[in-house]
Amino acid sequence: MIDHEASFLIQQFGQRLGTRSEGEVARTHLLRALTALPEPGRLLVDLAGIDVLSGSFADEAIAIPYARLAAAEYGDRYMLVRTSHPDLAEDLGYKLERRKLAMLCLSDTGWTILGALPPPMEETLALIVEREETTAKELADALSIRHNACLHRVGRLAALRLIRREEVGSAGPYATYRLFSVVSSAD
Amino acid sequence: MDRLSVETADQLLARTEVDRAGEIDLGRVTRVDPYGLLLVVLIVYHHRERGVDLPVRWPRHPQTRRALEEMGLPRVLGRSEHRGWARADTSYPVADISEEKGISAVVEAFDRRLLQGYPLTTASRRRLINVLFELFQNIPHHSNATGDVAHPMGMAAMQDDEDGIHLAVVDKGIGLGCSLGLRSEYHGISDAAALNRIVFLGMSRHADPGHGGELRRIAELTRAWEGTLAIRSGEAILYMDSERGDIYDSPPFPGVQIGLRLPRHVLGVEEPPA
Repeated sequence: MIDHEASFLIQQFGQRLGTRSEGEVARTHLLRALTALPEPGRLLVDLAGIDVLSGSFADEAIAIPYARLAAAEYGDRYMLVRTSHPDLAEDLGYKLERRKLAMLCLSDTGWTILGALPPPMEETLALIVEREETTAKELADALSIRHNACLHRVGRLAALRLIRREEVGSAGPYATYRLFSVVSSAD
Repeated sequence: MDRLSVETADQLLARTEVDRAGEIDLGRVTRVDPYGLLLVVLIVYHHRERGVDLPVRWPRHPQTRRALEEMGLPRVLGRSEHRGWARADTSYPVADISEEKGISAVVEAFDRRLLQGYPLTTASRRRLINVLFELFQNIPHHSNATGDVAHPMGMAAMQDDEDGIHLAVVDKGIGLGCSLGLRSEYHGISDAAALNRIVFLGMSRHADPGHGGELRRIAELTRAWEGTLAIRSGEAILYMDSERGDIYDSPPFPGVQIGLRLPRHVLGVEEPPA
């Protein structure tokens, strides 16, 4: 479960957001909002009211903080993008891809991935989102893959901050985890 | 030369930079695109910095003269101080983009012009504005990355006609080879090799992967839109259309000059009948 949530409106920095220096200013505020969020928590980066979001702005304001989040600098916290216009986030996706990152994007039609995520990983993620809470063993059975292959996938998804992973014990040589979707059915 | 454009501008450079012609003769020119226009400005200023006043013989064709006046060429060349000569509004298409802080206003002005003239879809407009932001930012980010260039002279101009939209972004800064060469592994790289790595492989002078890749993305978009892209730097020029992209030798000249031509369908307008 993700107990805490906050929204961060990008619109506060303008409607047409294009330069790196503008993005640097936004990044400072976004990281402050992320730090203020109790754990475990998710920050919804809301693109409502935005007219244009360039790759340079998005890289500074969103992709760089996300890279730091994925480098485990911000604890048990998660970041998602929310927009009614997924094309707005195209260039953010390009920057995330260059950084070898992937981020969840919530829109009116459900969730999508911005950036780079191989199909087997996306398949695993979709199953976790569908179940909201599960284990690697249950996933391995559902996906008909070996347990250690499944552990590898969920480990990578957790490192990318696309799911929440909580260690609950061990079974033989493997740690046992509860896996939580960071997307809820209410999204 | 009856047309000064992306396709013919290297002839002008050959005359002024290689043959050392004592003037720029536009007398017989009947059409000038923004790339050609901005290159004239750069050539004149490049000569002035070396203490040479290079006179420009204006086109004899009245319509062409008027077009150049509307684009602001005589006014730009008439001032010795380049900063502040271009206003970022609809009346003055030539805009100063030397500093990042002024770029949003210039993009807004270009966007306003496009919205007034064309039924752009939201998606096309967003992509187009993103292209403007990234092209314009390249100038302050890269043209003087070494700090050695007194006046990189970043400028942008746009023109629309029956062929579509012509956009030019130029500077006379350090160029792509020198910029990429700031990375130790590319030290001494040629302009042609730098063009290849930057446009086709998405490399930049920054090791951080989030920086760079903009010209590659613009090249991919241009291709998808069936437009054309020319990028000249130092002694090399890249011409790209929807089918191919090739790099050629070019007369030496400082900086980077980019010409982008997008067809009318990108602007939401039907192509004229052939």
